[in-house]
Amino acid sequence: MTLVNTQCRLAARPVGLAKPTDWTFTEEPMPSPADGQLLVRVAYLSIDPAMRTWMNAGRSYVPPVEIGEVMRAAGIARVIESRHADFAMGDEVYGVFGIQRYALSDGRGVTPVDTNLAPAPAHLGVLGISGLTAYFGLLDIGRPEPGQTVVISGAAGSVGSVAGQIARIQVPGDRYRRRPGEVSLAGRGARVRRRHRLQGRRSAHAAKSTRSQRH
Amino acid sequence: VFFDNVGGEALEAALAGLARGGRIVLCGAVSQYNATAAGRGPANYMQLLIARASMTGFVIFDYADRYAEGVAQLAKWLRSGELRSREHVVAGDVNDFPDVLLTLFRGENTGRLVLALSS
Repeated sequence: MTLVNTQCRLAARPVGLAKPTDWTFTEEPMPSPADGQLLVRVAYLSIDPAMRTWMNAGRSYVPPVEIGEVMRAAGIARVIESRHADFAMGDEVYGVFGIQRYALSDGRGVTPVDTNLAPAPAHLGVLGISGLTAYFGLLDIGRPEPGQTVVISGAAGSVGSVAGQIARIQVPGDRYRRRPGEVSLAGRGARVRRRHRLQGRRSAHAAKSTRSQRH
Repeated sequence: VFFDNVGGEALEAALAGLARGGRIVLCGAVSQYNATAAGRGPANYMQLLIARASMTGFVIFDYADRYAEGVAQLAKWLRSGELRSREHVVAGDVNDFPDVLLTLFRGENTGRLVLALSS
């Protein structure tokens, strides 16, 4: 039986928010993997604000997605056929497979995922790039010291929500405070309340800045 | 320490309140991603000088050789319950991607937004 792949491709470079006409959907028969390749069925796609920046032409930290290309996206997938020595049918893996149902890969950038440790979506969040960004960004670039105040914007987002928790774990408060002076800025009242509940945060500000976040 | 994912007015507000020797981690700028005009820099960037502060951008890919260390620590905190995982999982299909992407910029997600493809 031939598998039919559904793909979401970039049709035009958006101006402002992406419109429906900035995308096209294609259906194609899925080829079988060649030697050294694996075929995966994508189960979870990471939807990231940075995707919007990949859709622009010009200098960035990754090459732009070209017009007509399948939209770039990281995901968790299951190997359904493997002709690659490192992967077997049934393996759950992380990789940048794109916005599509099936993907062929040569295994580069594909890593196994341990779903005993945490459910698959967590490997796109706290145990994935978001968690790592929060971890190294806060501790290696920010280097907060005991008693210092940590302020996080976008604190309900994928990176910010982890960064706030790491600040609480890693940055002891000074002698006047049992906890560090973290302030979380998040876009909506509901988010701020949720963060209080989730992390016992001592202060949270629904800042004016949230207007720009909601454009 | 200001860990900035938003930019724009959030960044200006943080610059205005910087402690001496403060550090700004430039991680992202979601408020700017859909801007149609070229953005203006923060009007009050001289606060960096006044506070003897720094602002450093970084890209996580540069830490690729330390991912294992990071994941091990995050997993340890997750197991001990000190760290909670927060994903916002939406069920759908490939065709739903454009709409799901837009929800990000309305600030409707809490934690990592994930599109779960129906099987």
